Amino acid sequence: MRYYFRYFTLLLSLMLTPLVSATQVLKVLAWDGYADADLIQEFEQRHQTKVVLTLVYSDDELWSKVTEATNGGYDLIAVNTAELQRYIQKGLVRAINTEKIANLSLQLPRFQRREAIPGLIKNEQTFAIPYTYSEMGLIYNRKLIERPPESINTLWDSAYAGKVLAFNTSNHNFTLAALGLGMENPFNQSPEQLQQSARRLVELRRNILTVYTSPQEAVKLFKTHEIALIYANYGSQQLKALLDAGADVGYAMPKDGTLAWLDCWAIGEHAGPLAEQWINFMLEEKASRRLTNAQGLANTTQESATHNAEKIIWLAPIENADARVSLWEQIISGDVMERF
Amino acid sequence: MMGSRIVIKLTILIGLLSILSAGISVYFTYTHSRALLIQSAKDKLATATQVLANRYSFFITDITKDLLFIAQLPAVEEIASSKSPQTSLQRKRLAFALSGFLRSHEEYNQVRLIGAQDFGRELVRVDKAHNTVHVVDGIALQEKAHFSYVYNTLLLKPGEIFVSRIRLNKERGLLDGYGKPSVIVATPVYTANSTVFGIIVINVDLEKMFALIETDIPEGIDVIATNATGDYILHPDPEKTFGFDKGEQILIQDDIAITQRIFSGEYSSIVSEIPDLRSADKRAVISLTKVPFATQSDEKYIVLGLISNLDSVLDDSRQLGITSLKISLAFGTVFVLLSLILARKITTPLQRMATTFARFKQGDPVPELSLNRNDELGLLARNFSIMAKKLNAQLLELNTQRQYLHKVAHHDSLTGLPNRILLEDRIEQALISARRDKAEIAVMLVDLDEFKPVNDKYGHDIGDKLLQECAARMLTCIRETDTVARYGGDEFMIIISARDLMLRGMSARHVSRQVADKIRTALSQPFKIENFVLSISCSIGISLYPQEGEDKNTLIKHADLAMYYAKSAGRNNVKLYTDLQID
Repeated sequence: MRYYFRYFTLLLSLMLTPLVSATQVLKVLAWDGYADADLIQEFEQRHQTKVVLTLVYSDDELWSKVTEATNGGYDLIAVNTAELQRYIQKGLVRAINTEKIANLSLQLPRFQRREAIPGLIKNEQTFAIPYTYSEMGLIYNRKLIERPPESINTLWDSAYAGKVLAFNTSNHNFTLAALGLGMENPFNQSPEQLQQSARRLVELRRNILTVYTSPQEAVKLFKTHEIALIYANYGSQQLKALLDAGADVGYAMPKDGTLAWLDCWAIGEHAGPLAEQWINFMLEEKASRRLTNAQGLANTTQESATHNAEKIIWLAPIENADARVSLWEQIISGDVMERF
Repeated sequence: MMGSRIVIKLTILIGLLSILSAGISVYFTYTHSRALLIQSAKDKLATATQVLANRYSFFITDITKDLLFIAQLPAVEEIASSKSPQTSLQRKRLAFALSGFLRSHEEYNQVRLIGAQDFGRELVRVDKAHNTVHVVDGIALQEKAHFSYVYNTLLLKPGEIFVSRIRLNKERGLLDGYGKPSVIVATPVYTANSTVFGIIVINVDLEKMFALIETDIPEGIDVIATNATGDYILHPDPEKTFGFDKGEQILIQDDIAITQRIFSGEYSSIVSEIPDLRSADKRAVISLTKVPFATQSDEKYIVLGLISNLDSVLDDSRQLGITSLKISLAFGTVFVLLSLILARKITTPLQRMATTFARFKQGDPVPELSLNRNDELGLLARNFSIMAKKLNAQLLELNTQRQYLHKVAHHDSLTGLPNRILLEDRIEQALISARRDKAEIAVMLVDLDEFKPVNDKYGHDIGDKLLQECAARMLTCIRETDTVARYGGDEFMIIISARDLMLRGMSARHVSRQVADKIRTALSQPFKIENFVLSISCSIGISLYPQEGEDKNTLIKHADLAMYYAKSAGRNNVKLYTDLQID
């Protein structure tokens, strides 16, 4: 999970900006591509302030920068919903005054319903505003599968036995198994449910050719073996890599469970009201379009052209990462069904 | 003085030149030797790397042979061809045989027979744990079909080999190898009717394998290995290895840019000087070579290399530099001394010549420079002598001419007596002396009587000879210190300076009277000239300094007056100017 996360963040390059208060300097901690220089300049002119942008390249780096920051820390932090929880627990971020962010109304209704997105709200206070996201759908080989798969369970379809590529990670695979089994809370499974998911994943293992870890590896496998279906951990970027390699593939979002990362703006504990202005600014049409057009990232104000986008399930903190890792290692090592 | 200055200059110059040349030679010796030593280190490292690569290849070949041997074992064939699913006896036999393999190969940590059926369920599996061999059985046997070494090997023909990517073993259940770097080598097993039954797999503990390969690699040389992507598999810093299995990408191309040329396919091996991996301020040499796999594999090749610190090499070069510096300094000192001697050798003859010519004066005989040398200094000395001789000769001629001109200008050509110019000068000189010494001078004018008739009667030749004879006779009448000059045609003037006389208590008046009488007598004697006998007389007037005149003109004028008085008194007479006044 850890490296998945790292890859994800690298690829997605979420950006976080800190906001300045008394000193009129806004310190923003974000990912590459989240705040272009010209946008920063425009914001600086509009608010007569100075923005200091610090880029991060991994969740670990983000965490250490925020926790080790001195001198008031960062005003804005770009963080995903799953990671956000420990920032809230440690009191590193403060509640956001949503009334000061008029452009929230520009967001798609599903992003405006923040209470429906796990992790954004705590004690009836908003701690993060969704900014961009990356979903994990299914890439299918048009030569072998005629119609876009509608269900995540297609991965288990014996019709594609030995022609499926799964992603080598414990976290999402257990969530996916639970989704396929129709469990109510796939992010929070009981030990029994985890065992149940594990057995489901042994079945998945028996149906796949192998697991991959990088988009390049998936491309290589696709080219050297007959592959029908790929679980796209890297989302649309991975699709692009395959298309670039000449593969005749499509991209589907199963309606029973498309997981996605949701990166948000959170506000540092000591930040002033300018931080809200930054978020407001970044939700304007110009910044949103820039995110999509220049960086290929989804924004929260325009509907994605992707199929079943409204069915997206935002990643949430899981019940027990260690248990999932341990079980997954057993599964991927080849333990037989009787052992679960 | 001049000589020593040249000595100093020459010594300094030669000294500097010798030190400069020594410095340059030290510098070039140092850099060249450094380059040579580094090149030699590079060559050695490249050779060692090739040896390492060959050993690696031989190792893989040996594993291949073992695999093929196992695949041929009767027990394997029995299991593969058995119709019955219950083959426990055969499996035990095979497990026993594989255990032997595992024991005898330190670097193997697992040998297996994996079936193609049942999702790649392991059929026979022998693991190593703490150097003890364990046969794994029953529910512990795992399904491996999703591993690339399984699904790829199952596609191979009999006798073909698959080599996996080197990575950290993440297969739970392997007793001794979890998390360890390993490479898996496999070959397919076919049934009698040529369908693929399963695969034989050997799991190699890479650390132990490299420990065996690396034997003989000297201290201070690090082994480095990467996969075909550039991910470190072996590195002095274990943290850098297997980044791809830890969610990171740590590539050799990012650390050592030149290695990119191997992965791009430009080179199959490189040798390059790089900063040392352990401390960036030191230098090291890296040698890398591609080791391609002849068999089927996840990756086409691995890259093996050696890194050698250049400390010892550079120490040698520094030592060499210091040694040659010392030698150069020693020679430099010798050169300075030699240049001192050389400078002395050149300047000593110069100095001698200088001294000699400084002493040389006009008219001196030209000194012979004892420089019997054939070089430029000898030539200089000889030419100097020749020049001095010429100079001397010319000066002599000039002197002679000058003396002649002087004589002509101041003497009467007929009698050889001082002429009027010299006479007047002599009077002035005599007056200066007399004034200083408070002495007396007598000026005496002698006029020949009846000279004109002689001239008219006997001709000018006889007249001239008479004048010559008169002059000769007058000279006999005076002292050497006195002067007889020809004053006019037949007039002579005599200066008598009386300093010495005065010392003897004699007056000028007295002495001049005596001299005048002697002359009058001498000239009144008959002259025999050619065949003629001639008789003449003379009239003499005398004036005295200081009594009768203080200056030359007055004295001459008064002598003249006295002479006329003598002539008018009947010739052949002597008169003093004083006498005129008395009369």
